[in-house]
Amino acid sequence: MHEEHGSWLNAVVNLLPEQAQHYVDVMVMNSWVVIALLVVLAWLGTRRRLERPRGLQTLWEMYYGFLRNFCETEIGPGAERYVPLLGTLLLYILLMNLLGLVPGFITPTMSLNMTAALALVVFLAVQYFGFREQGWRYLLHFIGEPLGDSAAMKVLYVAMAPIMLAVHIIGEIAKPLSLAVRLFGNMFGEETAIARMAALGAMVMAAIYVPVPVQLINVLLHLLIGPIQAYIFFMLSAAYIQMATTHEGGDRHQHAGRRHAAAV
Amino acid sequence: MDYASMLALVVGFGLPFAVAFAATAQGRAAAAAAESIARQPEAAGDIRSSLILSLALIESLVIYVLLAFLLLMGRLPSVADYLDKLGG
Repeated sequence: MHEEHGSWLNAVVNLLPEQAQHYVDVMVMNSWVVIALLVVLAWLGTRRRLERPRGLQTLWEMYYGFLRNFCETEIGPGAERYVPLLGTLLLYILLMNLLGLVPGFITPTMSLNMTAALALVVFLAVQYFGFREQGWRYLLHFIGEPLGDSAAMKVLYVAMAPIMLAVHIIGEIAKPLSLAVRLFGNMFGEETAIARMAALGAMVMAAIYVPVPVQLINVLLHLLIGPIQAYIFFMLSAAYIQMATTHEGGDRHQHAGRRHAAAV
Repeated sequence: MDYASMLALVVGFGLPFAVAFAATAQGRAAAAAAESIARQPEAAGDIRSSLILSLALIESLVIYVLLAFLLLMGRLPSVADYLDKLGG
């Protein structure tokens, strides 16, 4: 369906020989534009690292401060390890969502391929962080939490384990799936709405010979929804990481260590 | 009531139902948020973030229905084909 929406890069693709055209994807090439922009901005912002930052470095430091603060309140202490992934996701998806509004480019997140790739990255990262934080005990959290200390509760816990395992595995797959479909649905719906309203504006202009930008309302809506959806993706990824890396008994060990140190 | 007319009814009514329920839910979320901001203005930033998050999550459910609508709409017959089938 994305043949209806084109970009200038479509013309570039058409210059390639027929055989090669099947191996390139216009959406991925538009995402390269975002990547190039981010690389240039990052390089410009970190060329001279001044003690008292000015200009672009200030913006990057503000962004890092926001990420660090968010991760520490959401995921808990030691969260600066997740800042690179989450910060990249947020900024990358934000710029990709807004790229469609620039004349000549298209929103890469409009295709389910791109959003599914991002959700796959989040899924793999969540599993990796879960294993790294909790080791083999991470698998236990698929069977649910222990219900109590009495014997009856322990028997019930073991008996319900298969059901909980199935439910949790389905949940673990449904979470990144919902991330992908949410972002795709929002962006594809918005871009399709803009295209249809632009066509409507063309029909109006054919009737009254005055151009009327009917799609302006939809463009403004897209300016609002793009960043919001990027933020939602980012925040839900942070929530999934938090769910995978919370220690049940780990905090007790930490507290015991501090008490011992204080006693010494 | 053959397959094509049932499909048309479902495609037509599915999305408005989803939107109606989602709009009700979002209205309640917005009302609760406005009330709590009125009660505690210094927490307005947190409440606003929670509100935007809740609204977007509810809206994503409607987006799922929109996806199903787009998939089903491809299966509707065109008017010419359907009239041919009725006549033949």
